[in-house]
Amino acid sequence: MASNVHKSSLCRSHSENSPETIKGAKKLSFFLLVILLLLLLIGVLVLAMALGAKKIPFSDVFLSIFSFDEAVTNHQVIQSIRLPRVLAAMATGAGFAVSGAIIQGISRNPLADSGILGLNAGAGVMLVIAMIFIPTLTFTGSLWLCIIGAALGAGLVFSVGLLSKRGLTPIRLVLAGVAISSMLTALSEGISIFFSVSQQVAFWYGGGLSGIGIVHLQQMLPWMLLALLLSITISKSITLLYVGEETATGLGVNIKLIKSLSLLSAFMLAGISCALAGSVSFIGLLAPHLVRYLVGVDYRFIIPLSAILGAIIVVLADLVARIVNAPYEIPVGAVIAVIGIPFFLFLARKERRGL
Amino acid sequence: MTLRWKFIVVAIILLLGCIFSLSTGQSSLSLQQLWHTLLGDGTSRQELVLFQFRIPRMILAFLVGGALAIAGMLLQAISRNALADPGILGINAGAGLTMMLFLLLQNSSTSVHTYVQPLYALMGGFIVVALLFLLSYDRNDGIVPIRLIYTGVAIAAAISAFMIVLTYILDPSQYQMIKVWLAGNIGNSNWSHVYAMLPWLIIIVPLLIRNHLLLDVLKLNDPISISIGASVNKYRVWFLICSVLLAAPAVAVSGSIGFVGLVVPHLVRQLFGRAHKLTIPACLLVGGGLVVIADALGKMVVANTEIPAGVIVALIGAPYFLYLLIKSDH
Repeated sequence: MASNVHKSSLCRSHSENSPETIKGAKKLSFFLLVILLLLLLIGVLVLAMALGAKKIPFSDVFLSIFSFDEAVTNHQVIQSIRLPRVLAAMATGAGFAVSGAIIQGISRNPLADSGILGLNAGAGVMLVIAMIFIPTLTFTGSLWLCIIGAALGAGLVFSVGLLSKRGLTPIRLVLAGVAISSMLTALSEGISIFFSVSQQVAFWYGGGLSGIGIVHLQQMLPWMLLALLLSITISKSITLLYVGEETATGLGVNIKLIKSLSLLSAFMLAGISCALAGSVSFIGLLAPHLVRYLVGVDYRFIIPLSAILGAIIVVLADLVARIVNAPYEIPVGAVIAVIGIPFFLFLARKERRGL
Repeated sequence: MTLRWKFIVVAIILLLGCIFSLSTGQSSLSLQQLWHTLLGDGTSRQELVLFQFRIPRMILAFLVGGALAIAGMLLQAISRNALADPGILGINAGAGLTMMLFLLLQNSSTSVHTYVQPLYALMGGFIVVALLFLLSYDRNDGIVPIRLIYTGVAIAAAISAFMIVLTYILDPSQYQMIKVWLAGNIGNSNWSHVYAMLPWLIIIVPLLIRNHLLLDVLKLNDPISISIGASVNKYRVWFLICSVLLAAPAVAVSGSIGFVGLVVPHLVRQLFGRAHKLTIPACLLVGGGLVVIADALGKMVVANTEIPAGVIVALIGAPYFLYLLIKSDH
């Protein structure tokens, strides 16, 4: 909001800079950023496919993708293990980042993130229940269960905001998220201890991308793309919502429709990412804030850029998780927490609003 | 209802909770059998079950609940924030982390270790408190209460991320043990756990009751309490240390049981008012009672496995916390 005010005052003081030129400059810098980040992403992807328990030369990485040869072991490793894995990391990063950006936009709350808000814990409960009671569940089925779970967690947190007199202030959001997360986690802990599957569940919570195959990717990709497209379509209205509900209504935004659509896409993105990679927090905080710092508060720019940046972060984090203690792995969620938590503290320190 | 009656009602509920706790478990004891065994007329098996397993477990649950509740009340008084709690501020997590490292390093479990456990937990608790201080201190405003909570949430998250890394190193049997302990379980307790926990309460609680007026003063505005003549910051540090000294040993013997330190002080304040002279003993009774009952419920719900008390307390406590969050308005 602040940057919008800043922009309009800028327009007035420098009359020679018409709003169109500024807009054009912004668009240009946006496209430059997109290209830059995409190049970075490709670089990171190649790096992530080359490094690991077994080092594979870059030439083999390229060859295995563009002229695959079944007889070469390295090609097999890339095609059947590394490629699905980096693609999954990419999807997870994009999903968590965009879902964080959307929720921050519509709740006008800088600290919103699917991990902090209880979306991940909700998905976790549903997954535990599925693991025990519906062992024959397909991957697509578990995707949808995770989405429903994410909606459940978020619904609980937001209802705290609806019920309290002063609405959902950032600190209240964080505390409600903590309480609901620990309640839902206690629930899944109780269930999993009872049925003694708790280590599997803990592995899920840690977040890990090992064991993801092309089949999983094929099943989740259409839904992921659908949700991403949906969020990009409504991104303009999300910006208006961020400016203020009155303004948005005045400009002809159907608030209820936009809010429900953006929540739907946020739940889908977070739920699918959870199903893929487990409960990973703080990406939804990191990526959108960095992007906002670069391009300002315009969700037409924030959403695609967050997706790319989130993808870069998770691919890198997954690479670190694989090579730090090779051939063993550490959970990718923990790697991201190492960067994410100081960042959360940094954001929280700026927050001076009370309960 | 007068205060005396309220205390009597709380004591009766506590007593019923204790009887409930003693009679539930793997092999159920009827009230009659319970009574006979208590008087010394039971079979040797019944005596073994009662005196070696049920009674220490119940006492431990009571001590842990009381300690966590009082720790929470102290933190709320220090930070003048109704939502402070050793769990939310990350103190439990810190104590848990060092305990987990300790459990990993120890090779054989001998009873000597049980008494050292609280010291390990204290280490973690104090490290977290130091971090809390450093990160939420502002040169002009002193400790910023809101910041204290954010910092605590973040520290707790950081520590649990680190614990997740550790769980990857463990083999499944070690893991199951630590997981059950972390979730807040009093199941495998014996008398040595009680002896490890008891001294801390015996030292700290009378000390607090003796200084109850200081706690009352701390809850006033800083200018007022300073003009009364209290050196506010000094006492803040002292009571903070006391709260760690209560919470960390509790975590050491029982794992992390969240929300007790949050929910119980609120209940107690509603029942007994705000004077710490009354609320300290009341927290001990109510907090102890809550955990005793939660533990007994965890034993009762399922036959062969037990649901950790911490899980049950979280399932009761989190909704109450949310209710407080909705109502709080300052």
